Amino acid sequence: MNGTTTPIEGTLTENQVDKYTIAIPEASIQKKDK
Amino acid sequence: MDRNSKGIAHLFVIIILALAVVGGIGYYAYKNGQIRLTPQQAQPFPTPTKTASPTISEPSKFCNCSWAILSTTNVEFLVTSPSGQQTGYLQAGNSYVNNIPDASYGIEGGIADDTGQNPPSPSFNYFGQNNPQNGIYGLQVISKQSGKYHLDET
Repeated sequence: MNGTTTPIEGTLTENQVDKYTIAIPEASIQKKDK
Repeated sequence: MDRNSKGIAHLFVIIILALAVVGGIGYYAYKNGQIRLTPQQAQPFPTPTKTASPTISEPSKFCNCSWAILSTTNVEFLVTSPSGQQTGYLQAGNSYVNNIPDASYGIEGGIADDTGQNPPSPSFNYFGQNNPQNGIYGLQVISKQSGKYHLDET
């Protein structure tokens, strides 16, 4: 968003879930604790 | 008629003439609206008119923009809007949902090399939305295969 690309990366085992929050329009990303 | 009677008659004539002159002036003034016989009605107290107070414009609830998330295919993901609507992959039912307005989710096929010299580019999962609601979105990344994943928010 806003002409920028923000990578989101991690490692998971099968069926595991990572959770994030993304603020729009700021496009700021935060990872939530599992 | 004696002398006193003539004096009284003259006096009456003068009084009648005076009354006629005063009456004529009064009638003329009445006709021109300078004299009103009915009492003037009281004017209602002027009520203050409400003027529209300047309103502070609220910030728009929607962004005049678009955004997207791309991911490798070893994961799927689910996006939850600030109002709770969801688009993406539902792990519980191994199904897809598309409830966020003006949004879509799916697998984009890889692009083939026309020359055939290179293998097609890999497929990727794609979420896109136009004019999103401002606020905090939830993103769940669900692993379909153990390993590292990579998403791009753009």
